[in-house]
Amino acid sequence: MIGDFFGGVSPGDIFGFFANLAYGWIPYKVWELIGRGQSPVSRSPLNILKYVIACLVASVLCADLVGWADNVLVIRPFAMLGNVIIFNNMASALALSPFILAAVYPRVKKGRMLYTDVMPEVKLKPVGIRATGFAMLIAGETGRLDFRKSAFDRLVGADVSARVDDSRSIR
Amino acid sequence: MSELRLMWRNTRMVVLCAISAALYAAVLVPFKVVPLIPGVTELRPANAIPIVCSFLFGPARRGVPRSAT
Repeated sequence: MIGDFFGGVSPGDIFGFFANLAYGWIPYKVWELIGRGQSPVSRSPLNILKYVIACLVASVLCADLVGWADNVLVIRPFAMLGNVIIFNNMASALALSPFILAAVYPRVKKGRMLYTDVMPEVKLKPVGIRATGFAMLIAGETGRLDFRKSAFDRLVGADVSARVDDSRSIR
Repeated sequence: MSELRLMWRNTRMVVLCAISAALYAAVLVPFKVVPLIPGVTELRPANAIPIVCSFLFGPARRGVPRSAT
């Protein structure tokens, strides 16, 4: 919201709030499930893949929520905004976050400031429930891919038909 | 989901939440002048902060949400 006050506030920002809340909430929830207690700064190929999955799932959910809301509010088309947000989020998550994490995570862990240290009273739900939630998340995001494709087709189709109409009117 | 409610009873988590939000805003605002697609979005290195804070502070990562990410 602070960022919006510097760039212009719109009704879509309400959905942006929840989308970015999910963007920060999903990675550690997914990591709790697929990370199996390992550190996110581990450099094994499998852990890197898990890290990418956690970031991608969060980015797609954020993009879907913002893109859908802006599309419904007729502010920006879903096909464009959804893809831009995924690219923007993933670029930062892959190019910057690993280095910041590698520098900060061991120190925060040593200082016992990780959320698991600060809030030991929070207990994890059974793996089955968390896995079901993760599967539902993946299924929902995969389903949205179809919507994104159809929205893109509509966008391109509208553009092409507009050009055809223009060329006819010129003739 | 319950941890999102429980964290507000923990002073250290509230402080971490405020620090995360301040850090996000501090990185976000200077780059508002570097648009990727004008009117849609700008260069956003600040998007690295929520991921980092999510892995570190979990539910305290509330950040400073915005629509055009």
